[in-house]
Amino acid sequence: MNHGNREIKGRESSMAAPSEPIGRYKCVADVMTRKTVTLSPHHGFAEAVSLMADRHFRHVVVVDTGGQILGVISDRDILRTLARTSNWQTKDVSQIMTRDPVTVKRETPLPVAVAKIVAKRINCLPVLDDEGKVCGILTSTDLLKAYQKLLESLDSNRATP
Amino acid sequence: MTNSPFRHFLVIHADGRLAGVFSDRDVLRALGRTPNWQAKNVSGVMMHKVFTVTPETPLSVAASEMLSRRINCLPVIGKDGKVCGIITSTDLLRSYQKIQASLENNSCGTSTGSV
Repeated sequence: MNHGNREIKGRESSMAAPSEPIGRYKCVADVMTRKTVTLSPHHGFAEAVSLMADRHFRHVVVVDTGGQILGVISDRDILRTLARTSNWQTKDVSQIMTRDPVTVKRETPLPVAVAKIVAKRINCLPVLDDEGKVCGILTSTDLLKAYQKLLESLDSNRATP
Repeated sequence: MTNSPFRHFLVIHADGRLAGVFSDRDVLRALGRTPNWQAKNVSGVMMHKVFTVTPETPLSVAASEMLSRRINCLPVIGKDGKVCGIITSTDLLRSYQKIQASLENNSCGTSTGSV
């Protein structure tokens, strides 16, 4: 186990379920991003900032050595910290993360996930497996992709009835 | 920006035309890459080349532009060339929610939902 070290992996979105009619994704596992970027709670604030400034994602999941979720850091958390605390250089990840984040499971229906993201004004839901470990994240971008597919299929249905 | 629930500011010329968009991403990028960020003003950090839509742009086009450009906000420009609103990824997700609900009603719950 090497979880104490920085564990930064690439991220690629996966659109599964090719047998389904296009755009009719049903549950979180169909559209979630499987590869997530994780940090451990003792990583420094600066590390989280540079991680996000250089890449295209906005959320990092914070996990303990057993892979259990501790929190989420979003670009919002970073901005808030910068604006409100003077000694942000000394902060670590555990001090700025959102604890007990709203999560979903792989089999959560998509409408439930969309409702959570819209109602809670968040952009990311960590996806947990049956043992409570993080197996992916569902972001507003993943959902936007699913919506765009749905809109396109509705458009083409309308064009060729 | 940290005190409000939104993430995008439109920067507008005096005549109402769009000058650029200033987003939380721009702030983060500036913080991560420029050592003297305190000395910068909005125009030094904002995006100047901005993709825009009109009130008539189909939602599917707006969504695909956001995805391909990796942005979350499109200013909406009226016929007079002035800004008349913005559409964000959150706005699109709200409309996704409504469409999902109506599709579910149409299919009488036979083909959707599985827990």
